[in-house]
Amino acid sequence: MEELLKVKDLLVSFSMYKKGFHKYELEVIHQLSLDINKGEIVAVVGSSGSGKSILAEAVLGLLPKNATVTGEVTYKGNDIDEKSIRKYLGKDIAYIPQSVDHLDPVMKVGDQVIGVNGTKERQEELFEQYNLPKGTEEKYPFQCSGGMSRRILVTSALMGRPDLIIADEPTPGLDLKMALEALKDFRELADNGTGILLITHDIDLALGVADRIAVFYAGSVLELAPVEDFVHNSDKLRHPYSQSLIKALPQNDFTPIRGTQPYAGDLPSGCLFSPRCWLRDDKCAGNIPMTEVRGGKVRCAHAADG
Amino acid sequence: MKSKKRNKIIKKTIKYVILFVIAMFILSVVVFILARLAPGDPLQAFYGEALDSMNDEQIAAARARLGLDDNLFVQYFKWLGGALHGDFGLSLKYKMKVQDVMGPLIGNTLALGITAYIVVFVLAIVLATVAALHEDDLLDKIICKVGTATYYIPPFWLGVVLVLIFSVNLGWFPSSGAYDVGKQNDLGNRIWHMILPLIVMIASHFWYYAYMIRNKLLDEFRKDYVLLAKSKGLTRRQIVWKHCLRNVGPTIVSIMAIAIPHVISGTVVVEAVFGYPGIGNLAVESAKLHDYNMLMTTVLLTGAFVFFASFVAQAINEQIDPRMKVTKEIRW
Repeated sequence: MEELLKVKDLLVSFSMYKKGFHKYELEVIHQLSLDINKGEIVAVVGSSGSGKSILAEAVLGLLPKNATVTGEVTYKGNDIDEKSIRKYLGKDIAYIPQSVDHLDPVMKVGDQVIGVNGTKERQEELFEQYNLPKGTEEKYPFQCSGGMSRRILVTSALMGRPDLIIADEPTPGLDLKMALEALKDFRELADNGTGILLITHDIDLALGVADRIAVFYAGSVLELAPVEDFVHNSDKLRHPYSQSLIKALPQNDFTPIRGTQPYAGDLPSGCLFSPRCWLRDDKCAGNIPMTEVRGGKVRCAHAADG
Repeated sequence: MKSKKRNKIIKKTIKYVILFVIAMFILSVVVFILARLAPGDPLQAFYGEALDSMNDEQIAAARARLGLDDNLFVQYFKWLGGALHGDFGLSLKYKMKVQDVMGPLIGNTLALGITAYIVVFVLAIVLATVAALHEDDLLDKIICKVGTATYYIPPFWLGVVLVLIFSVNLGWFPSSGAYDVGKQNDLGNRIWHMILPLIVMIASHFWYYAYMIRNKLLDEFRKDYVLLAKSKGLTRRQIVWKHCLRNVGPTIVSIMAIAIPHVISGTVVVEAVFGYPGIGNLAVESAKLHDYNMLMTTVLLTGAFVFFASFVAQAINEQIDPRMKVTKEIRW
């Protein structure tokens, strides 16, 4: 398997002001590691507000000036940062944003999809493939329905035949069945060798389409494991949070996890999940490395215990 | 399809013409009444010092002759009847028909005003874009500080200083007038006379608009579509040029329409400082001296300009942003 994107110990912080001129750093993503291989869909699953979109923007170099990004990001073995990723953007790496507001309101969608690198032929081909009626390219975003705009965003990403797609919640507002249907195209793309980072809060969707799932919690990936480990029950999972997440699903035990996810400015030291964990002991307080356990990666001091 | 579109344009034009007539009518009534409500005697303008030595009978006779005795209603319709035939009445100060007083001067003011207007906006858009692209960098800071300082220099003072330096000391530019005697038709001579007034006009106006456009652009840079464009590999210049400037286009055009009376009224100070013969001075004088007909004409002229500008601005904006064509009325 050829490695496409590798993120190691990513840290994103924003310098912010609170009450007048008191400046402070808000760390939103910490010690985040994950990797995507060719032809694979990796779903990053996390609750709302846990920083998933920031992960996408950090990798793509889209964060504002007050953000600091450290850590190692490599694409096909080459180190990339905010500047050096630019030569890949639009060609090798594509982004499908979360909201349809990412379309320019005063430009015809055809021109937007073509952008600066695309061709008219490819645009027509893609529009046909995604069932966008003839004449859509002459429309402005406000004349397109929500569903059409979504598909326009997808075609815009596929324009340059990318090897890696970072898709941030590409199916909001669709029920599971519809969303899975929409993601069929993603599966097909992946089967043809494209790597896809799928960011979603919908674990059922991730279970239905992904090859591996990264469990995202309070700005970090706690566990990265093949989807099979998630499907039946929680036994195979390595991290207590992933286990309880699966248990909380209606089709399984439907038992909730106690407590809530901590706010980014108020994180516990050591294991991020420790305040809510039933296995917590002294080992959880220190720095816990990402370790390989039973074919998956996990950041838990107790994972190896079984 | 095409004829339908043409019909729509014709319909719209007719609508605007009717609106224009109504607006001008209301404006003329309001100005007419307000001018006569203001305290003061229009005869002062006509006779000047001589008024003091006139007796009551003479004054009454003068009033009757100038039609100042009739009731407002009659006066207004007399004026309206004349105006509709292209006669805007007698200027009390100059004792000449208003159009004959303004005729030779209006060209001077338009030349100065339009040139200043164009330069102001070209400069404003360019500086705003440069500053916004370098937000918070040294370049942006320099542009902002210098711009703000320039804006706060009083134009009459700047005018006097420029005259002192470039006319009196260096002798590069003339200190007053619109042309040298006998060189009325010499374009070069006219431009030479216009340079100092232009500098004052531009210096006192451009930053106000540049700063507005700069901030609007900064707003635009933070929109989501910029992120998507960036993720598609567009360079900063491409994003600003292809996306952002078009998005702020309607704002710029609207500001430009509103700016017309602002810039035109800027000629008043400049005309005074440089002794530049124009209608800006006439407008101020007419209000001060109760030169009713002159006042009416200058106000209506400015009003017509503003109306026409907003019509053009609306038409341009609909081309830039098609959302404006679809007028969905909100139901509250």
